Amino acid sequence: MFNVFKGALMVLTRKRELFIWSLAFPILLSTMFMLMFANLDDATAFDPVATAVVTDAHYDEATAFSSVIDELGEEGDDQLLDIQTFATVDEARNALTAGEVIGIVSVEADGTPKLAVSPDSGGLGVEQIGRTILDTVMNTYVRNADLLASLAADNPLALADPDLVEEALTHGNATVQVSLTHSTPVQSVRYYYALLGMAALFCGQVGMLAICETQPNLTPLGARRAIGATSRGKTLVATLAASWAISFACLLVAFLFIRFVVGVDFAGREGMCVVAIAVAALFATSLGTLLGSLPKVGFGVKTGLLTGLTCLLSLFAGLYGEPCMDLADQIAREAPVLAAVNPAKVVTDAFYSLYYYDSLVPFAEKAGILLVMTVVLFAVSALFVRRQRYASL
Amino acid sequence: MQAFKAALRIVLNHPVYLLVYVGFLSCMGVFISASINSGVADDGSYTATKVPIAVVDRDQSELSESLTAYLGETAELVDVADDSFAMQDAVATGEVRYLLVIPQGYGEDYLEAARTGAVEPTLESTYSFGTMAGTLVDEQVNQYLGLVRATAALEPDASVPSVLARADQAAAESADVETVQTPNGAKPADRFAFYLQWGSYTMTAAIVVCVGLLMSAFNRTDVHRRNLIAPVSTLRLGMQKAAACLLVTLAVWAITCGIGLAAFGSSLGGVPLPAVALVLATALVFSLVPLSIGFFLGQIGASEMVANAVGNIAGMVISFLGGAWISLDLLAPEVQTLSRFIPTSWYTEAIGQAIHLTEITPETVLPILGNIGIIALFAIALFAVGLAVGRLNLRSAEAGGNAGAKAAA
Repeated sequence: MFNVFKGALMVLTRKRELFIWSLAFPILLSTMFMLMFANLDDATAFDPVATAVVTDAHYDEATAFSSVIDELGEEGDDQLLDIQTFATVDEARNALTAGEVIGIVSVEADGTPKLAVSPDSGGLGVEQIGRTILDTVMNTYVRNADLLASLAADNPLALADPDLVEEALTHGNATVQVSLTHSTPVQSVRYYYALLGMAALFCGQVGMLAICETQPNLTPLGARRAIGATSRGKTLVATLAASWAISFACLLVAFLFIRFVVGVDFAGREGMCVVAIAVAALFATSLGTLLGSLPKVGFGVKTGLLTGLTCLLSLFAGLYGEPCMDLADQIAREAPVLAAVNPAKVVTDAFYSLYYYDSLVPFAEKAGILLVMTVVLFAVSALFVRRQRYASL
Repeated sequence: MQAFKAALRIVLNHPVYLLVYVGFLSCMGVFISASINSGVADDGSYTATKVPIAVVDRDQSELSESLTAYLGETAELVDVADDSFAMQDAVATGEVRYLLVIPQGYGEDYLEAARTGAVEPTLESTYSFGTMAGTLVDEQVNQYLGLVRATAALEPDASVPSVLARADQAAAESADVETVQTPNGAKPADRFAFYLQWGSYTMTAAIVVCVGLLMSAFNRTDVHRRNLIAPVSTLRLGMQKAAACLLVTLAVWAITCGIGLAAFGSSLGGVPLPAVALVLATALVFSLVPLSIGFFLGQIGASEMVANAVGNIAGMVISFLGGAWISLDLLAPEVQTLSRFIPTSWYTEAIGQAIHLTEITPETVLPILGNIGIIALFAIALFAVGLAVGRLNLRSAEAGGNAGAKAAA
């Protein structure tokens, strides 16, 4: 049996095209992700909002307002605005048109503050949020002023002590930031997890080829092996073990690349990640076995099926960008069963559980789901590979 | 015409590729593009963004309820259960960008502190990724609590409902906001542009695979040898193969653009017709690049599996490096420089410029035509390399040329 294993290993490692999908592809794609995400996390992290302030006579007169703006623009940890000053509205508008600033803060002749921004760019884009932050800052001033005005009208005595008024309006931060998760939320890590999910499915190609090499009607090698002295069961077990070993090795290399070259954080649980990879490789082998054993289907079509299936399932694991990730999350929330039967999503979630949850229970659940799916796929493929009769060999 | 027909039959015999690469990937492009600028108002005005947030209210006091009600107006409230896994999931997946926990007794303690001038208790907030959004909501929370605090401090004897009523009344005010139209502002038509930019992946994968497949079928040594002794000149055979490749390319282009127009045609209202034509022409010229790549693969004798892998991977890499997945501005400067050596970056630029054309004048159109010219040059260069490689291959031992004769001798 060991000889069959060795033989199968040799046959598979000599198929160089196999490694395009199972090894080169994840490495290439993760390199691409590395370039793509290098600035992504920084780009959506908070940066003071680039603001044009028109420092004309009206602005100087409105001291209460200008001191608020100046304070928000002061450099430091709680700096909210990155202020550029302009002498006239026209100059500020040129800067807005050129995209140098997000909005223009000015004061009208009657002393009311005014904000000018470019149109909505939609969603949660940095510029759009920058506009809304500016809007909020302006509202804070207007609302505080309105509050004082209404108090002055109803209860003037409340404003008798200017120090108290000043004290009432200045306050510390009402919130303190805490973390709920095992690791800080990072948008980009989930794409690497989804990539590992896709790579795992692509490794199905190994199992598929391995099975085709044992089927007498598909390859000459399969025909020779069928009449050999080793029992069918032994041949299959040894062949599948070889394809698992290769899938595992490919995924492990991809994982090591993502961990050490790309530098993706796995929350210090690398050992558990290797377990996840071993389970994912086992699933990949079972998927490949099922596709490979489909009777009366050519190898080219099987490859196409696997590619199509992998791409489709990866879509629902959120691999292809933010809209897909949102869709995947929505499905997971509203139809957890659908998400649980998508192996790409389950592999992705296994890494995700390791990263975000303190407890290892969710990870064990995901690994369990994968193992159950593996057993089911192997059982179905057993129906196809055993006791088949071929009209002609 | 026999060779032409045979060539088309080869492609049609592999419908999986056409279905997966053209159909499925294009539909995915539609799905991804549909979310671009989704909140953009068609009249190009500014509206405040509502960030998805969650408030876990363990206090259920008047203050906590009115704070939640206020946040319900400025942000988009999402229900998240008061359960550790649910809360972790909500911030980890970005379902909510900000999660605020109001502990029991907070309302009473906060108002008490405000009235007596003591240090007020703080709320625990959790940011998801993209802390820009979290910062915005934090400002909104601080703004409202600031109003409540100021009211309670200035009117220490007022009842809780009257403090909150005054704060709510002030919070109903808002500053004047004017929208300034900028030439590069977002437009609904950007969705179509993005779809086509992303389509550089679809088109590359589909065309490279189909053309590579077609070419490699003809390049199989036995088929090639039979063709060489057939009473058809190499030129005529080549022309028929080329015509079939071109037809496949045109079909992929037409399907890709057709799906895009069907999905986003309605958003093209404000774009002049010549500009739309220019956009489609850019896509057509770009489709010649994968045609050349597929031709090149065929010339070097790549197998179906290699054509499939190269098409898919090259498609991803060049569409990504061309800025079709993520704006080039967000990438490192070295990658931006590298992208200038990839036809896709010229393609995405030309599409982006053409879709924003408001008037058709030589000054506005010429730079776009220049970009299209560069894309065409890429295609020609790749084609020339393919031709040269083919020439070398023809003389190789495997192809049965002079070297083959020598080997046999």
